[in-house]
Amino acid sequence: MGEIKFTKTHEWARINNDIATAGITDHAQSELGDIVFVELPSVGDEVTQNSQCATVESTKAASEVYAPLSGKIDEINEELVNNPQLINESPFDKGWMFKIKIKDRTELDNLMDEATYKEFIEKESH
Amino acid sequence: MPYILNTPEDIEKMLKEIGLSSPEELFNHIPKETKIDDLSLIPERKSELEVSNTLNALAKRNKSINKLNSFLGAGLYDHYVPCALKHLVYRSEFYTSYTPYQPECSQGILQAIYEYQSFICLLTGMDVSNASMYDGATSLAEATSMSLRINKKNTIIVAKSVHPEYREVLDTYFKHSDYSIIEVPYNNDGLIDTNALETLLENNISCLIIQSPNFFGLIEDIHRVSTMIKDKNILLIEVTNPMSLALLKEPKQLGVDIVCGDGQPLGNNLCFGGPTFGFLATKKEYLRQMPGRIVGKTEDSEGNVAFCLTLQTREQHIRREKATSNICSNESLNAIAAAVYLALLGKEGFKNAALYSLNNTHYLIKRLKEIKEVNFPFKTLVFNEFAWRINGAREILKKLEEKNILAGVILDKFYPELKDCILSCCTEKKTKKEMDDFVDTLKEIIHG
Repeated sequence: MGEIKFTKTHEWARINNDIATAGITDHAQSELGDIVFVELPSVGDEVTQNSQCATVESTKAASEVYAPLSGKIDEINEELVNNPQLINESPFDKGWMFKIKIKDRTELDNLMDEATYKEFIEKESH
Repeated sequence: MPYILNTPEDIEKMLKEIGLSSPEELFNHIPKETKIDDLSLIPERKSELEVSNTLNALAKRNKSINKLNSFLGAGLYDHYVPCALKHLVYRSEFYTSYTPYQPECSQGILQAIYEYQSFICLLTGMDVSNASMYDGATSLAEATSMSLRINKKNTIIVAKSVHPEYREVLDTYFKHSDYSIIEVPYNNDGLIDTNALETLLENNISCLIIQSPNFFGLIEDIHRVSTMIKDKNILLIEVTNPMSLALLKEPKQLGVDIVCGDGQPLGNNLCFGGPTFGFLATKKEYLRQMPGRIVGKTEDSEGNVAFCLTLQTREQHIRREKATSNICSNESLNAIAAAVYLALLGKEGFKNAALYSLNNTHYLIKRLKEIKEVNFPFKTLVFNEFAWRINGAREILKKLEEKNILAGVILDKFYPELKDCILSCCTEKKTKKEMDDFVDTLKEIIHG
């Protein structure tokens, strides 16, 4: 298990060497409600930090998912196509969405650690 | 809406508030030369009876299609609309309701739209249909947007034999964007030039748009075209006349990805060219990229059948600028008329209406072939309309019109190369006598 980082747009990224596994946070999934559809990027797509690269659709809304880091999409979680509710059930584990081959490690400085993220959502909800 | 009157005191108070002294000052920014102060051109007030008489006198100057012998087609078709349709569709529950924004409490209209969608799926063989679009041209533009979203490529290929006005709307949608539109010419048979098409099939092509029966009435070889683009990640969009689907193969079977067109032939009168409605249907895999409303069938909390507006998260009122389309509405009343029409005719009746249209068309072609001055620019493998040529076509159309015969649409208006060509159409409404009258009158005009 590598270090986990967070974005202000409620994505998480777990860093293992040069690969970042990404998904949406537990807070995000609980705000969205039952997730019924996921649109994932394609393997090989180049993404840049904070750009839209996936969509999650719940019964309430369709929301964009932004890339936590720049790089190339290395792998996607095909399991979500038929079982999108994995994001609700296991947001940080089985509900991962895509893996990025990290291009620029300095971008990690733009992300929050777990404690800061907790503070951030607390503040946001007030 | 309540009528709110403004007393002179109210007006004065409001003007004072915004620092003006007269209501006219509100219009100071409008250039003087564009304003008309002299209202004497506007007639004096009239009583309701007088207004009614004036309008009736004006209406009388129109020539109704029922009093003319019309062979006009080119996108709108004069099929017979059963009398019962009016009585069902003109129920106030249907005609007063706008697209349901509080949908689940409008079960009746949702069910009617659901039936409409089911009919469109039956006709096209597709998995899903939306609740309808504005008209044929916008349904094509929306189908094209859909394709651009699906494969994220940037070039649109459209056959030149697609309705010229639809291509204009396509231009309006895309000419100020990063997308480009390439037209494929038609060959000597009036069909899409597959040799030219072959050379255009490059990596950046998002979709190919073809119409069948095409604008000249000719039936395109959709299967061949779909085979040509197979495995190239190019979507095939077909524009079609739904009436022709009573006789032709289902678009889905032929490899079409999105089928669209104008639904007017199904139970909608000509009405000066509108309103009509567009239909759009596709495969299940593209469901989430489909624009507009979709009615779904589900169950309520007690397990009863219930209808709902489904997949609304694609739509503008929820997904804002990321919505599949900014058409959040549909043409319910016209679409319901189509559902009622198909239900009234039934499978056999619908097929017969299409068959009679086809037979009449081919009878008229046969009769026109008797005239040696008439020739045909293309072969005549057609459904309900065809192109023919005669020297001095414009003049001849005018002379026929004087005899109350609307013989067709002049084609060089859209295709300058098709000089003196006329597009004529027959529906099941044409009688043998009407067709014979047309041909005999034409002979008289030609031979004096």
